[in-house]
Order: sequence, then C-alpha cells, then structure tokens
Amino acid sequence: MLFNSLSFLIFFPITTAIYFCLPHRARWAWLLLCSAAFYLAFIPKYLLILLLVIAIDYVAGLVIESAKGGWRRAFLIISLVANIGLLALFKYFDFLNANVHALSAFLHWNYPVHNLGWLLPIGLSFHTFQSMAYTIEVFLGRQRAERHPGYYALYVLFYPQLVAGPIERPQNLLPQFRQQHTFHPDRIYSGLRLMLWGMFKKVVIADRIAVIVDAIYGHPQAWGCAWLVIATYGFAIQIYCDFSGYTDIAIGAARVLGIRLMTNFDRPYAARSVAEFWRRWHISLSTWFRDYLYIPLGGNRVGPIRWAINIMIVFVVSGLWHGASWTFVIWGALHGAYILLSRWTRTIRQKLWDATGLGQFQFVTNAWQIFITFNLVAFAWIFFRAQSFASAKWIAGHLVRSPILMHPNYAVNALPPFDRFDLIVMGGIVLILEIIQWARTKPQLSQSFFAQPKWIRWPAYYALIVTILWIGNLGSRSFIYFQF
Amino acid sequence: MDRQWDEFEPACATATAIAERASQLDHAARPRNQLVLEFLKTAFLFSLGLLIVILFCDWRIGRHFYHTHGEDLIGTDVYHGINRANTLSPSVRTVYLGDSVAHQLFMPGTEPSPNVRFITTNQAISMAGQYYLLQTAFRNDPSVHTVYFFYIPGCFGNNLPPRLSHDYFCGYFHRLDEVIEIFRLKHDSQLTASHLGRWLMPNLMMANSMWNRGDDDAPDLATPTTPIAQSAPDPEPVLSLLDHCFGKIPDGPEPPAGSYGQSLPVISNYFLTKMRALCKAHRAILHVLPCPLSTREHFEDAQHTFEQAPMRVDPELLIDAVHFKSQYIEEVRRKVIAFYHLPLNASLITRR
Repeated sequence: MLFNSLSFLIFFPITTAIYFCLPHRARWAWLLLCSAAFYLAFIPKYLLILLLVIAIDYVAGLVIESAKGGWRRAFLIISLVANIGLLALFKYFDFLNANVHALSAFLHWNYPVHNLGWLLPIGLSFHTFQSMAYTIEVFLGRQRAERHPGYYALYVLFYPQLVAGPIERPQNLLPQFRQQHTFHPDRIYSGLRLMLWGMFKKVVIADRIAVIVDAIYGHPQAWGCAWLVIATYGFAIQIYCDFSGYTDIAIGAARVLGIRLMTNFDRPYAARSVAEFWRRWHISLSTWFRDYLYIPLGGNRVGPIRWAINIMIVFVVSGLWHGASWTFVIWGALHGAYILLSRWTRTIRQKLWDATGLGQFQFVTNAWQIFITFNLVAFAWIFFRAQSFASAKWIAGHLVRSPILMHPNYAVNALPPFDRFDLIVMGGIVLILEIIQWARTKPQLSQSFFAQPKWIRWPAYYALIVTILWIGNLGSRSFIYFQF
Repeated sequence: MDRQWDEFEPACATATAIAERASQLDHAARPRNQLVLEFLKTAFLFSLGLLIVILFCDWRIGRHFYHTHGEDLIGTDVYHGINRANTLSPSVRTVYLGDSVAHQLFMPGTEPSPNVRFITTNQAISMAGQYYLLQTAFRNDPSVHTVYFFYIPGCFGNNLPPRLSHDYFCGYFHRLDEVIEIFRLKHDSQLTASHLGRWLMPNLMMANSMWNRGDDDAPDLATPTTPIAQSAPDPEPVLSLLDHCFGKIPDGPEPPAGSYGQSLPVISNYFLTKMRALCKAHRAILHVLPCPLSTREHFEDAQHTFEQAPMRVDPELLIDAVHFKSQYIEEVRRKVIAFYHLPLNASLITRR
C-alpha cells in the first residue's frame, strides 16, 4: 500500500481511530495486524520472509543474551549470516551469478547455474538492517533482548517505517510500544501537518519532475547536454523530495500514533562537504553503517591507508545496499572517493582560500562549498539513476559535449512538463520548497507561524492541499526507495 | 492549541520537547472526552473550510477554462457531443453516434439538415459514455426515430481502463446516478474514486489532467488503434475488499486487435444491451455499423453485433491504423454514405 494511494487515505484514519479506541494492552496487537495488512498489500507471500527474519532475530536476541563467552559471538554470526544470506539470495544472487557467467564466458568455462529471477521483497534491505541492528545491540549489551514476540515483531513490522525506513534502533523504538500514548490533539495535528508536507513533496515535486527525468534518462542519446543537465539536477531534487517526502509521511503517521521515529534528513543539499552530506542524507542508514561497519573496521583511529580502505569499504557496501548493480557500486565508490579527495586536498584548498583572500568572507566560502558539494552529489546521482552502466557513462560523458538543446520532437511539443511555462512553475515550486526548508531550521520563524491564529495558518494548509489536487501527479507513483 | 507540536525536528528538538511537555501538562488537566470533542470540532471546521476552498477553486478554474482554453481541453469532442445532445431541437429525427473515426466523418456542427444531429465523440468514453449521450439526446427530444451508431470493432474492447477513462469518461459523465451505475457494474474502486473526484471538483481534476498529460507519454490518447487492455485489478486490500464484497465480475481476456474477442466485455455488453432497450422504448431504430476498416485490419464479429460487414479502405488513405488523412475525408464520407445506404446528402455536409 503506497502512502500516496487512495487505499492509504482510507486505511490510515480508520486504523488510527480504532487504535485510540482500544485499551493500551491491545494496541500492539492492533498495530501488528495493521502492519501485516499494510505489507500484504504489496506481495502477500513475502510476508513469510519477513516473519522468518523476525523469528530468526527474536530467537537470536534471546540466545545471545543468555549465552556466555564465545557462544555469544557465534550466535550473533549465525544471526547475521541468516539475515545477510536472505538478502543475498533475493537481492544479490542474480547479480553475482550474471557476473560469474560473464567471467566464465570470458575464460571459456562451462557455468550452468541459471539466475533465480526472484522478485525482491519490498523493503527487504530496510527491515533486514533494522533487525540486524537489534541483534548487534543485544550482543554489545546496549539493549536487553525483547521477551515479548509481539513487541519484537512490531519493531520490525511497524507499518509507517516498514518499507523504506527510517531504519530504527531498538533503544528508540521498542520502549515506545510499551508506553501508553494518550489521545493528544496537538500531536495529531503535528503528525498530519508533516504528512501533508511529505505528500506535497512527493506528489507535486518528485512525481512531476520524474516525468522529465524518466523521459530523458530513458533515451539519453536523443537529448542535448542542456536537457541532460536539467534531468540530472532534476533527479537530485526528485530523489530528495521522493525519499524525504516518504520519510515525512512515515514520521508523521507514527507521530499521530504517538511513536517518535528518528530524523532521516536535515537539508542535505545545504551540506558544505560530501562528508557533511552523509550526516544530513538518509541519516538512519549512514549512522547504521557508521556504528556497525565503519567503527568496527577501526573508523578513523587507524593509519591513513587503512582509513582510506575503511571509507571505500563502507561506501561500496552502501552502494551495494541500494542495489545489486555496478552502477550502484560506482555511485558508492564515487562518494567514497569524494571524501578521500576532500581529506587529501584540504590543506591545498585552505591555502588557495587564504591566497585569494576570499576565505574571510564566510558567505562566499559557504556558498561555494554548497555549490560544489551539490554538483558532486548530483554527478554521482547519474550512476544511481541511469538504467545501465553504458547509459550512465554516456550521460556523464555528454553533459558538456552534445548539442545543447537537442531533443526529440515528440517530447517537447507534446508533453506538458517540457513546456516552458511548466518548467518555470516547477522552478518556482522548488524555490518555495527551499525557502520552507530553510525556514524549518529557524525555530523562531516556525514558532511564530504556529503562534498565528487559525485564519492565517489554515489557508496555508488549504493552499498545499489545493496545489496537490491541482498539479500533483495523482497516479500513485511508487517511491524510489521502495525498490531497495 | 496546535502550535505546541512542530515537525521541524533537527533544529527545534529542544523547543519541541519543551512544548510537548507543556502541552501534555495542559491536556492532562482536561478529560479525554473533552479533547476528543475539541479535536472533532476542529477537524469538522477544517474539513468544511477545505470543502469551501475546493469548490471555490473548482468554480474559478471552470470560469478560466470557459474563457480561455476552449479546444485545448482534454476531450473537447466529448464536451461538444454532450452539448449537441443537450440542445436537440424538436425537428431532429436521426442521430449519429460513434467514435473518433465517426467523428471525422460526421462531425458535430456539420449536419446537412435540421432533422439530423451528429453527436459523435471518441471511443475513450466507452459504450457507457455512448449510451449516456444517447440517453441525453432522447431526454431532450423523444421524437428521434433513427439512431446510427458507428464504432470500430476493436473499440468494444474498451472496458473502462484507468488510462483513458479517468479523463474522458469520468471527466464528462459524473452525475451521481452514472457514478453509482458504473460502480455497481465494475466495482473498480480507482475508477469510482476518479468518478467521485470528477463529480465533486470536475474542473480541478481536469486542470490536474492537463498538468499531468505528459505522464501518459502518448500524445494521441484517443486513437483506438488496438483495443485497450483491461485494467489490472487493484491489489490494495482496503479497496479490493469492496470488490470482494460486491462480487466483481471478472474481466475477460484481452481481445485481439480489430475485434472485441469472443464476447463483449462487461461494460460494452451491458450498455449495448441498454442502448438497444432505450431505442426500443422510444420506438427508434438502432443501426450498429462498423466504421470503415483498412484492408489490412483483421475483422471478427463473433456475436454478430454489427448489422453488416465493414467497408474496406486502402491503408494509404489512413493517417494511422484507423483515422483518415484530412484530404480523403470527404471522399470516404461519400463512399460510407453510399455503402451503408445512409439517408444523408454528402454534398450538404458542411466543412468545419
């Protein structure tokens, strides 16, 4: 069930109303039932895989906590292997197999294993990582094993964050299921506002830009470099609005129910370096990798070469987490390379700033760094979005080379999103988005808005809703991160 | 009181926590029922305001469309067809209905005499739309005694799929009785949602379609080159539950191009039967005739729906699989009138 579908519009108020009518002791069961129904809406049989993950890690948590010495580590490894094995089977087997096939063909070996061709269960990477976070935390002694199978199942299945995060930590989520959440109008208004804002970002911005991006990335050879640049910047905005829109709806829906989910985005395109970008983008995933991969590898408390290797391992694995394809691996590796280059050139860049004298103007420094970071990130998105490595290579190689305004006639003449007026409107909406995003970081501004009487605040909400109805893409496009 | 919570977590975490605590203390002092009542009151007022705003915007957009857009609107031919059906004069004795090929040959407004009326539109409105058009015509002038209905055989395959129906059918046929009838027949919750949206805010939804036309990535939406595939059943549980409760009639297999398959799909079958009954009730004669088909086009009339076989034309005359190049329309029209023995004087049909 998509958040931007009619089903969810019916599902959410009904389930929420029943949730608040039920006594506290029955609420976990109701939430679990709703979460299962929510997941069943995608591919019902894959609920069994999710239940398997839940069963493995529920038992693993208990045995890890009760075991002593080397057995603790052994049980953790068994649990991790089971989780990663499931992920590998569904997500990476065909990718590895295809590569082994190619290598065998190159070496003239006979390799008879065929691809499985299984469909990836929606959100498998998300709930596997969330489940693994639990067993690792239990192993590290930072979280007690959950005795109640219902609460543990809900920790993995909780529907607002089930399919695309935020990837929660047990310390944050599990205790909240035990707390009694009273009916709290202000919290509900706040959650609904956040859901509305997320819906606006998804339906009005991301899904409309998607039409342009899809058309250009679908046949990049037919388009000139100006269009390729527009599509690349467009995708940067699309994926942000798509994913952060989803996250806003997820956090908002959970908040209505009284559950506080972790922050996942913090104006990532305002980052002044790629490292900072990763502290602002998909925070729940980047902190997962930091806590459970980067730090165990030694983090930055190692020599420079080992540190560089650690960084590359983390980012390549992060790329692979997103998708089983070389384009994702390159995307991850590019980000790793950016961070390494940034560190290695820090002294030279500082000297350059000092030599030009511009370093003393903080605004200029900030604007330049934000501009460069955004462009580096947008360039890397080419590999994330392109349909194949060849296509990505073509786009990257023709960003400044192909005829500037070349375009297929059918698109620019027939498709409204390519109309100049439409492009201007979209540009205006993105500008408004940026202003609102900026205002959101200023507590005084937001507080003063919420301090206004209803007749000032409500028209703003009405304007958002009417804009969604007027120009939003109401065709229930799926969220980009659902494929992971 | 809804200002205490804010969603701006990164920068306002502390402010939020303080405000939340203050709000909780405030609410703790009040009984739960009072809070619920207060919430329901606010929700009601907000919804009422929203409804007023939406209706106002819809009216305003409608005015804008009326004055500026004209022919640019999606499905203008349907709009004209409905208008023509609504303004039937007592002298009209013969009505021509049909799809976009019929629309090329017998365009509304080009009638050769006052006792003939062309209300041809396109196939995207499906048989349901054709029936409602005829019903409107009869309502305005019960003295019509002959109806010619021209249809490309493949168009009977239109069972109101989402891609075209939301704009062309739901966009123009959204009286409450029509919404209910289609829901009772199809139990397609997405279609019903679109229908209700068009019923409540037709202009706003039209504006939305105009903005999002690019998403269909097919410029000639109303071209019926092949029968339209059936819409996939909605897999979402909440809406599918409705379908299960009402026992949705299963959609048949997709018919081959150029035919409507072994049997008519639900919508076509139901409304063709109703159209025949409607004509019979008004003592009018209904002629169901196939539009001229290319000699390359497959034709199959498994249930003898048409009165006669189609006139065949040279594919060179066509701009696509079914529509005629503009320079050949008059010539084809003359041949069609002769072939089907239509009581029309081709030379009196005016150019538009």
